[in-house]
Amino acid sequence: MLRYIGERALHTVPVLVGISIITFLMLHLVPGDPVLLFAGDKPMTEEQAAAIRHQLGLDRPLLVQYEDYAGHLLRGDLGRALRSQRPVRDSILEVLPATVQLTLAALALATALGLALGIAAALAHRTWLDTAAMGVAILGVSMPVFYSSLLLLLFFSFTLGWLPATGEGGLDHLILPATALALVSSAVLARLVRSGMLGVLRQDYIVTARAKGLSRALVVRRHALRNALIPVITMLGLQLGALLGGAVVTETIFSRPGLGRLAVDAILNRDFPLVQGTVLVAAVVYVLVNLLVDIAYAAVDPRIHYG
Amino acid sequence: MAQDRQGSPASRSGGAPQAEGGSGGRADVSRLSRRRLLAAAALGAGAAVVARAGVPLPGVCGLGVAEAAAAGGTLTVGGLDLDDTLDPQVTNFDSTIRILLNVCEPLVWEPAPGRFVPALAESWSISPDAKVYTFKLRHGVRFHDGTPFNADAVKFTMDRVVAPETKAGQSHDQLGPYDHTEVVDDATVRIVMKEGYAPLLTNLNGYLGIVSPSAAKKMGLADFARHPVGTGPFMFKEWVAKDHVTLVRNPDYAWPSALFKHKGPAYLDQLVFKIIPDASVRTGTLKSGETQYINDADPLEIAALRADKRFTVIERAQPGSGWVLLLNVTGSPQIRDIAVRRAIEWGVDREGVNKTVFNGLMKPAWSPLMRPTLGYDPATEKMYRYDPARAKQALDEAGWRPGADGIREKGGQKLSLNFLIIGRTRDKAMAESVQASLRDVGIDIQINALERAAFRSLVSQNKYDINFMWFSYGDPDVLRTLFHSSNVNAFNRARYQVPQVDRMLEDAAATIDRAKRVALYRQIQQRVLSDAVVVPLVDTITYNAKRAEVSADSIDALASYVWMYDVQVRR
Repeated sequence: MLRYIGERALHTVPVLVGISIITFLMLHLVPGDPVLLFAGDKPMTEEQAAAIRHQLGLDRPLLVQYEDYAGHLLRGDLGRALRSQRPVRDSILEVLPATVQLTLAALALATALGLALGIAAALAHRTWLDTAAMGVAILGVSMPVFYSSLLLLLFFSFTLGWLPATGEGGLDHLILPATALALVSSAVLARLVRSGMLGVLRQDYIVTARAKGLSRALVVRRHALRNALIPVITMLGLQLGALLGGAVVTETIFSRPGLGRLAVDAILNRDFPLVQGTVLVAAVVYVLVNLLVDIAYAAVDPRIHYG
Repeated sequence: MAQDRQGSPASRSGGAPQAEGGSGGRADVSRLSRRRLLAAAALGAGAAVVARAGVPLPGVCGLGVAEAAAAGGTLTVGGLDLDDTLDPQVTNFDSTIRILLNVCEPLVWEPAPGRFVPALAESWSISPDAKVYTFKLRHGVRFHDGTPFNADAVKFTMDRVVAPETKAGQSHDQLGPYDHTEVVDDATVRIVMKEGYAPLLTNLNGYLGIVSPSAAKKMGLADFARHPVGTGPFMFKEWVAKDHVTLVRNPDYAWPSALFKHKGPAYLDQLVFKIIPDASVRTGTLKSGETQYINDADPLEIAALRADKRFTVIERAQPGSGWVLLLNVTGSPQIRDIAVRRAIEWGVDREGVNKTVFNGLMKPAWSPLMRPTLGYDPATEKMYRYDPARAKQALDEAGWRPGADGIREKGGQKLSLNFLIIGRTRDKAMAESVQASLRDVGIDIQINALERAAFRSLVSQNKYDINFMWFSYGDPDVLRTLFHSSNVNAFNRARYQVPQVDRMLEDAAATIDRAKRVALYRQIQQRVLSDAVVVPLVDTITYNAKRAEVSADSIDALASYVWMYDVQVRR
């Protein structure tokens, strides 16, 4: 097991290097002269532009620039934000807990909802319950996050006044944004669980287990669900990416601090080091979660081996 | 502030209370509550609170203090996204200054265009050539860190704007051709310009709010940006990034401007500025009571808010230069033809732009100066109107004949113009509206929507015929930014270079003779319109909104900054 984990972890190294190269190159891939991005709005002469280019080290060969950038990254230095002169790391660490909280809450909610809906639909195959559950799922998949967010706000905050609309704080501040964010993922998961379960429930070993006299509940839990879960776990890893992306919208609408909004504001302010930092951190989180997913396979399914 | 300078598209805009012209009902309410408060003070309740709070009670201010203590409470304001710094001299965001003006007071306030009221300066005199500004400073003023405010603090603040390591934002532009500051004595300071600069007084607003030199030196730039220290009626308490900024009442505050209605500390205990980027959510929180005052209400909700007695919509026209098209006189041969430019003046449906893009909430414009600006020339309203027939006639006379596809041609050349914009939703919508009305008269507009850096490099290479511009600004000197030949590589996107206009612009900025300035700016407006290098589209109006229980808020000349010192929230 340890060896498997070690190997999977090693596989992420080239991915991480790739990410660092892409975030580094972002600056140069954006149309226009990077100096114009750094210099702000004041029009300038060629000499001034050259001076800024030199000061930022942008006149060096790309490879040297990357070496410098990667060296700083390895020391945990993401540079300083242009506007605030503050270390990018500090700005990110400040908002990261809020995003982690929101994403994990949404992931938990999506998993719970998805499993419940999916299992119910599979067990009640071809009944009104199945149709209703899948109807809800289709609605969830089709509705854009900003729209469901606004509907939730309109109903629970502005009309009923049960929950606060904006900001970060206790559980009451988390419920609406986590629900809005979880809706799409739970719908995706529900459909996946349902089809997985339907496939497994037709297998001979389920019939055998039932014939042995095992209770339906036990068969569903131990034999059916566990086998249906493998694709679901894969999907969970992928959904995390969707949740991180959806957080940009949710955080803006619910006015919560977070990595997504930090990134968007950094883009709007043309604060390049901050953009690079947030993209890098989001990408690294995504890679690490998928590493966890790989490890989870092995835990769930003893047939998965390493090497 | 130019339209493509801003991070967030709506950064520069705000709202105005109907301080003078408000509804009779609300005025009654505030009078009533004051009477009730006076009664409470007479009973000794107010005095007890004062004693407990340990506020010194000078005879004259006693009543004010008692009122303040009895009022109390928190006002929650819903606003736009903030800059990544709370340093007034570094920020570029109006939304950030809306908070900071309560913390770092400037030398003067401007409650209406051209009307100046002492803030930290008691009085001032300006040399006739508008080069030397001498300020007498208020005595007995202290920063929140306890150090005294004096001439050195003014010099420190002005000098840090031009110090390269500050990386000053908007404040740098506002200080203009700054040369140096002289400390005459402890309470007298002289700000000297390199050349005449009449807009300085209007520019001495929140961006040039005075900061505590000792705090700024001790903390350094990065730290000060998170803990601003000034002399204002509210002190900085906390900033939770992307969530809110909290200010608390300064209990020692005893130097309010004559602009305000009371003395002593502010009424409110606390001011919370919540950052709510989405306009519809911001408006929703006002309705639910989560906020009591919001900047930039959702345009789609304004009518409903107006109809509801629980809310007041605060509408105020901005000074400066509104949304305009600048027509590049050095662009393609087509746009260099004055007949084409004049046809555009006749051919653009301003009301259409206002309706389709701004829900009819702005005002069609005919001058590059917005109506509240000093020197606005009403005669410009008669120069052009929306008249497609007139536009077609102008093009016919100049030999531009309709081709098979309806687009006009002359000598084998199509009347097709390159409209370069930044690819933002609102800019695209405006450009498409202009495109549609010009299509009707046979002018083809090619909209080229780009990312900002790409947009800028095409602008600097002079590869465009038409550009948008928008500047909210307190002084008609904004016309220099738009039309002076020295700004051809900056915001003079018409690349207009007329020595006579240059001279008029320079003369108008280098005098404090208001009549002379107005006369010059009127000539300039008529000249640029008859040369058809600018097509005014709409004057901008800001829309704030508040709950009826909030009273005594007032707003500055830029229609952006709201003073919270007098504000009370009825409970």
